[in-house]
Amino acid sequence: MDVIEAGLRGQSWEKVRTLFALDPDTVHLNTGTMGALPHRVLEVVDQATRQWSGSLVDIYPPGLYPEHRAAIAKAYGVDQDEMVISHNATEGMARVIHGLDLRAGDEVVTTSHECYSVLSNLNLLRHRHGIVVNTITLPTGYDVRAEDIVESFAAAITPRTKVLAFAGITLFTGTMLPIRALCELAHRHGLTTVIDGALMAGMLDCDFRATGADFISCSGSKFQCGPLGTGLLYIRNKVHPEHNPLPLPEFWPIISTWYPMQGTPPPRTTTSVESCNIGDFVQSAGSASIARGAALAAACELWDEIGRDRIERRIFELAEHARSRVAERFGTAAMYSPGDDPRLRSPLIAFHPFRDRADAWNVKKVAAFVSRLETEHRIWVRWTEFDVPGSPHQHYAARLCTHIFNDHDEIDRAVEVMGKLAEQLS
Amino acid sequence: MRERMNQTRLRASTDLPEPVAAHRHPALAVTRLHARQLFSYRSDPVPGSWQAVAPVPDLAAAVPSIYNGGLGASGRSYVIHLRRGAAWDTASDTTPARPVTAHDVVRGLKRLCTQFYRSTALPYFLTAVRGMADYRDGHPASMRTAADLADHANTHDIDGVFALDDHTVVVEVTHPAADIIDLLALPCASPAPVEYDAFLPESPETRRNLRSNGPYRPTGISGTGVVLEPNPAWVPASDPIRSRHLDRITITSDQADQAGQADLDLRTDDEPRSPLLGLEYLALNTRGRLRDRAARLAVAAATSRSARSIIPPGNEGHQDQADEPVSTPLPLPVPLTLAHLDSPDARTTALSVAADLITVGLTVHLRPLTHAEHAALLTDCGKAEAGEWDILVNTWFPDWAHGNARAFLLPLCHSAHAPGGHDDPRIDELIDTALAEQDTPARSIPALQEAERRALASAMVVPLSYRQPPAPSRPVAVLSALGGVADLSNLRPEPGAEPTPLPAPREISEVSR
Repeated sequence: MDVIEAGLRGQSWEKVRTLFALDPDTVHLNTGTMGALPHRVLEVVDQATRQWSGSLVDIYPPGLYPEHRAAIAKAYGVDQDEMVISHNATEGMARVIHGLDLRAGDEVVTTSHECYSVLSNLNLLRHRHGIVVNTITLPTGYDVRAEDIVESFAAAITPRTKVLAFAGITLFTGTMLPIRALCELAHRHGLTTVIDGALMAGMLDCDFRATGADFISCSGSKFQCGPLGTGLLYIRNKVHPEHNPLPLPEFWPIISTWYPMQGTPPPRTTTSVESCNIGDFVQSAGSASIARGAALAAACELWDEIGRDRIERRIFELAEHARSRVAERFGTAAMYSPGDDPRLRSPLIAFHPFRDRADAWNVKKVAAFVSRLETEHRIWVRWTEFDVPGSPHQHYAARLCTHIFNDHDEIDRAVEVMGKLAEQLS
Repeated sequence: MRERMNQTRLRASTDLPEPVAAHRHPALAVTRLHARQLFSYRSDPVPGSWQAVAPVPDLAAAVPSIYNGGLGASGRSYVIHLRRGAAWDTASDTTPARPVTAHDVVRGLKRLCTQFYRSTALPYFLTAVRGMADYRDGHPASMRTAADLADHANTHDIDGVFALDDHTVVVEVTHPAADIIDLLALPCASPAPVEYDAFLPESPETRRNLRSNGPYRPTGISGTGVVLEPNPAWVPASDPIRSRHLDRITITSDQADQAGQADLDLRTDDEPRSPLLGLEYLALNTRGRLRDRAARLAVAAATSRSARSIIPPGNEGHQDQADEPVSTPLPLPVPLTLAHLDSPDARTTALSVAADLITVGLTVHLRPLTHAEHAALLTDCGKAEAGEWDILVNTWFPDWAHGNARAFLLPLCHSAHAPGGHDDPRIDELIDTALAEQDTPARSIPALQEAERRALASAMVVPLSYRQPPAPSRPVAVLSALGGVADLSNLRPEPGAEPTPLPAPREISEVSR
């Protein structure tokens, strides 16, 4: 393995695949739930846990992960003071949502396709502070256009709107939202942007600053393939007008050991030079799992070695292959994920597998489909549930994801098996 | 040696209704012994504790939530999986017990919507379940027979209620309404077996042919009482909230128990054990002789009463109300019909109200009603239109505990459901707004409170007193979230030997990820 890892950028995907602790009999098409761990990451978890168990050294400074955060931040085009290693995307979103300075009557525009943890935290704020959550239902289907989505957000903005909160990529239908366009919409209205980036990290070769967002909360254990219980949180901490001309939003770093016990931090900067290390305030929350932080850093380091641009291209090339196979087998009308508009495509592909459209709201059938794929064919996907505009029903879909440890052959085989199984169940 | 039979005798009502008619029925507590619901409550030794008010799965395998895939982000689609092992008694030694299915759940909800029996709880469902009002309204007026009704039910659907298969049912709501689980815990929403298709709802034939899926089954129904005995189709392992310790339960009427031999009197008030108060009130018929608001206000002013609000203390949305202005003279002395349930409590109240009104110069005719007649007046606005009554005495208890403000305002004050109607369209608008905003208490409760103020100002409802739910004479556990009815499922032969209520059932959905 050391031989392979020496010069990973030039290695074939077949060899890169050997870096992962995969069950050779299983087709893993569910990175949207959890990625496969690289062997190197597993080793770091073990080594760091042993190193810090019973150690006499001070555990608190390394719990701030200064070097890890700096390295990871660089990979995402930002600085160490803007990057936090969190426990997961949910925790990151919760700390952002509850750290915003929202008051009674302030409105947040979001979608019904957000992760429950986003909606539950917004609901909490609704009841606690009387904010208004304006929830739109995103359009679904193969022919959705980015303009449709931007227009639906624009229509929901009112003079009381303060925040746009949306997923970079929705977990239910795998729609890549037009992030930059939505952030520019927010800029025009003076709004704060909060992005659930749970599926972005490790998938996109992404410059967080260039998105124009104020906050992006990511999972470390999905496409980034770090251990469970890890995440990344980007907090805009300086003003680069070419990316986001708005002043920094007021933000309270709730849950913080290092927020001053007397006095206040300096006023937030209005320039490209930070006035405080907001990342440290958020990062410091008592003792931390040093092993998990180190392991996430190792996963990010591995990505840098392979090449994040290369990884993104591979993931999307496999996704296009899977999308075309699914479209061939089930028809584009069966697809909830966008396809016509390349701006909205992601490696998460959600579709209705059965002949009868009414089975789209039959959770038992969709769940049985997913379960039998797993138990009878060792193909791991998941089912998702979501609203569809104009439908009174909650819809259910099968969803597959592609990642660099997948290959064309297993995708072909999986889609073929799905087709036959769907025929049986139809 | 012959084994001693464990039995108990209850004093309640002689008839045992079909579950669809069990709402507000004196025998509601008995209904739970033979009819199970999708969800129910635990009798908790600490009334009002979260264990006592939180619905728990009964026939359902789990309370649907986002954690078990039973509820989506929109909060409008509930997927309910039935637990295995619950079965109908087929009343035959040769026919094996038949599983309770999702189709029985659908049948039970359809049976709630017919013109042959209108449940006083129906307004809750009509305003929550998608398509239920349309389904109710879709029954042809020409329908007469059970066969007609069954044919209609088998060829028409409630849009928002459908079985995915034998084991799973979906209930869709028109707007996020977390109390849908509480509604499905009401015994009137119990699943109905296919045998009921042969009978009209709450007909004498149905009551003689009740099918049980609970721990007991009715084995003898006569003019003087009902006998319940163990149901062989009931499997304790399939029922997380009920138990069975008796070989026979005899339910007797007042007349049949003149000697006072009952072990437990379900109709007497004892030490209150439910913190949720109900309301005894007068509904005034705004479509008849009291259509003039000034006349209604005069009736209200002339009536001695201790309650001022429609939502009683202890319930969500209760607000203190100021005393009304001093009595205004009645515009004209009109004879009024004061209808009341023919029960000791209601009779006492009616006499008191009548005395007050006679004192100010009114002529009052008392009209005692059977339970069925009383329920018909409450649910049929046509009887108000026809002038069958002017003042109606009733008591309304909260049907669930958490987030229950609408449990009073909707049935008592919305013109679509209030028996006497009203002439203030703003009341309906406010209640409709509150229902649509149920998920936002900050908006829904003020709307309901404004509706309450307007209803009081129009004197369509005159609060009389706050009432404790009738509590049994023997210290048995009560279900405070279900109007404080006694939990008879834990009754033991020896008084005082009731066990500690069962621990909270913890089940997981069969669909998990």
